[in-house]
Amino acid sequence: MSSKVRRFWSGNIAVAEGALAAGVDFYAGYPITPSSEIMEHMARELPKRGGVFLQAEDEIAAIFMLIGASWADARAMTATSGPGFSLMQEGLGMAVMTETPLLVVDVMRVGPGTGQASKAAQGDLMQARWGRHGDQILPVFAPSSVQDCFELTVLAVNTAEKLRTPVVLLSDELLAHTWETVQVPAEVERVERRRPQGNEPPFGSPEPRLPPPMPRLGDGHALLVTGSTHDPWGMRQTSDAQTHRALVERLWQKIWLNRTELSRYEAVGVEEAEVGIVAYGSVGRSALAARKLLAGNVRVGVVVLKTVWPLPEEPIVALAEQARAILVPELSLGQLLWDVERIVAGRCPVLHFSKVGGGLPIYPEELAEKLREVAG
Amino acid sequence: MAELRLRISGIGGQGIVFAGRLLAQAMAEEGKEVALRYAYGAEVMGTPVHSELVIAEEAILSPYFREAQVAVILHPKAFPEAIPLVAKDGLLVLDSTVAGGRVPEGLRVEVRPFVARTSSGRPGDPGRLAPVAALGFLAKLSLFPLAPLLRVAGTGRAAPENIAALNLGHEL
Repeated sequence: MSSKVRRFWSGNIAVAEGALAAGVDFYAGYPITPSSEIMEHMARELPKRGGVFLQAEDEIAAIFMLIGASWADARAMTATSGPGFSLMQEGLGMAVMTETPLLVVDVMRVGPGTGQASKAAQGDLMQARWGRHGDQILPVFAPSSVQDCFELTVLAVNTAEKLRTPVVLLSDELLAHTWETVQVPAEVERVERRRPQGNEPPFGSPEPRLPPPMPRLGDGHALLVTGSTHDPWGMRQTSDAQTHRALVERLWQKIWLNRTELSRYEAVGVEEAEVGIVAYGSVGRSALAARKLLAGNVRVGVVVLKTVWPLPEEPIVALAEQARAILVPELSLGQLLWDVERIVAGRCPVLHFSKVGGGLPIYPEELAEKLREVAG
Repeated sequence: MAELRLRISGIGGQGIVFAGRLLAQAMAEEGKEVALRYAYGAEVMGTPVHSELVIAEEAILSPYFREAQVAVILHPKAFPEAIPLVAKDGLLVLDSTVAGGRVPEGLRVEVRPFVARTSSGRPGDPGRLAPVAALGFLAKLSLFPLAPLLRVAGTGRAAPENIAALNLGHEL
């Protein structure tokens, strides 16, 4: 077992340090609160470690710089917040289509539009999943503690490399500006990108769970990297329905068929739950704390989701089969709520607890009061 | 107390975030469990800012709390949103410039001239050493020791004035 070092970091610094530990060596971005400390940290640390840091002219440029850097063999990332995340959607779609590993961190703040800059929110859940046009999928992880910020960033970088896909890490302002002790291992796993062996096509795979190997620009492959529909050799096929279906089905399946492996969540007290909570992000911490506040009075089962796409459904089903009702607290008008209602499918009532605007957390005391009321 | 929940409120430019980080770092180096959170507005300078800390002997389940056991308010603009978030029997430490505000009954109130005594006299200085002086005052009330604060404050270019402000607050 490797030894661990105690660090006192904010969520944003833990994300940056997780990326560095996982081998990220290229960062391009445009500053925006509440994500800016990630960029500041990378600007200081990357050059010291031989990496490349670029402040782009805007978020659109930044995401396309990541695509280029990744094809040149870099482990590439950026961080942004709501308005910048919206600008990056086109590039993210291209990264899905070209199977380009990269990491985008979205530190959620109040929107839409400029909203309330620097104030906490959870309104980007659906955007993280569905923000691109077309049939597409990419993994989305969501930390709920500063420790998670470090560990899930490592996981996100490795997932990008392993499945040859863009990955989104969905943080929020509360986590970004919360400082806590983090246990940092001396070493973390680094997944190596698979290179073509022999005559393997760069955009085709006989096994749907496995991504194709990724050539490196400059290594002599005759390579076309295009966002248009393409065949396994990268040749554009912009009219053929069969080629398009085969491509988008494979892109979907390489994520969907690996969803169990991608699944991360914390489930506490589910087996004996009278009432349940399903939450993610900073709200997950409040959910766990509310459970403790009610210990001895109300038996609360908590599921904190750390993979938010594809969604781990099993713990939610298990909670729904045990609890009298499930509460879904969110810093939004209701996005995770839709998922939970679909998964619970009438097994028990699903209630919403919403707080939007102003940047205030959902406090453990508030959740405890609501749970007491629900438990009767 | 087993777990101290402290909120320091003021405006952007006073160093509210810095003070939170100073105290958090000092307590973390003392081996305490610490959670720090700060929040600021879009405009940052001149608008309400606060730092929230939980300092405990054991693992902290949630860094987010509604009611502070100890609240420090260093600017009138921060008063309206900070005052409802003080526990009913909490300790309220006010700067003299805030002393005219209506305070709920039951609170223990201490008023000190943090801003006036630390002001540089330069135009536009909202009292950027006042939060550090307030930490010195809280140490005087034995909420935490002064020595680790002095140790952490003793690095960097601003070390002399930060140490002076801590000591000043400790004597107020």
